[in-house]
Amino acid sequence: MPKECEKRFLQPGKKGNKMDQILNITPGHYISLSVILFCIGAAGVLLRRNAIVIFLCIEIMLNAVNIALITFSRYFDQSRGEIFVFFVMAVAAAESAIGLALLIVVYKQKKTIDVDEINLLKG
Amino acid sequence: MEITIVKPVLFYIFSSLAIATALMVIIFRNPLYSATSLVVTFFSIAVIFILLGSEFIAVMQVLVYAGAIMVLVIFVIMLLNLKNEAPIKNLLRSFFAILITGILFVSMMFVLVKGASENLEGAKRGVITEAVINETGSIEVFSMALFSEYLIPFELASLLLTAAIIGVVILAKGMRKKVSSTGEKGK
Repeated sequence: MPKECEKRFLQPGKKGNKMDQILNITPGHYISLSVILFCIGAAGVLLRRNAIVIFLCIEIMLNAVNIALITFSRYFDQSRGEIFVFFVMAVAAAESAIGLALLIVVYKQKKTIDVDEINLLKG
Repeated sequence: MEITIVKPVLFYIFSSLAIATALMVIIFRNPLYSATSLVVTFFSIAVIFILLGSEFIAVMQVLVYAGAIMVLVIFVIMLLNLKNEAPIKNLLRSFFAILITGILFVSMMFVLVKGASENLEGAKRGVITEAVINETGSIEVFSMALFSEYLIPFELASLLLTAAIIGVVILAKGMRKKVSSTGEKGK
């Protein structure tokens, strides 16, 4: 069982055919994609100052997590991960509606959505 | 042979497309360009979901993310009439941002990709194997779990969405006192 488990995740045992290794898509590939997308999203949140782009980067991060959840759900032969992704999507929809409404309210007051210039709570 | 080669090729094409367009989201100065490339990212991620074997989530991805959320975002961008973002002036801050992201990337790669193969040995597995999915269909399996075991969270999600709608209406109504003719958002 452990041997099979390891083989299904990364296929480290196969050393012979390089082409086979590339063409064999394992859960490790999907998790790598998820990690790369999450880091792009995190970089965007830290680097950009436009509040809408920060919002878009948060959506990228949520999607990266969704890929990881579905990958592990398939890997462990369960449907819980998929259900969780469903709820993540519901929360993302609610969040986007509220967040964008808040952005419009802030824009009406400050005439900008640059996060460096929005300091309404600064004492 | 053909069947085995289609899936990896699709995976590589659409994962690289997703990564490239996600990078374009944070590179473009104009938020409208960012939003448009994010639509492509969402579609590529939907293809990745299909490759993973969960068609329902892929359809939801296209409907909810690429459809509803992105339309809302593009609508708001056009409503706000934003200028392009100025180039980064604070180099120290961007250096720290990239440093933090690099550390995050290396540690996540190490833990998830390398560590997972060692620590998941003997982990408990469910009963929804590939054979079961092929027999009953992935949407049936999904809905069976959603409407039995997760029925209360499902109902709570609808409560959350109702609360969000009410919140948006209140935000839009508060705006109408100061600035007229901005009530479209609440409806």
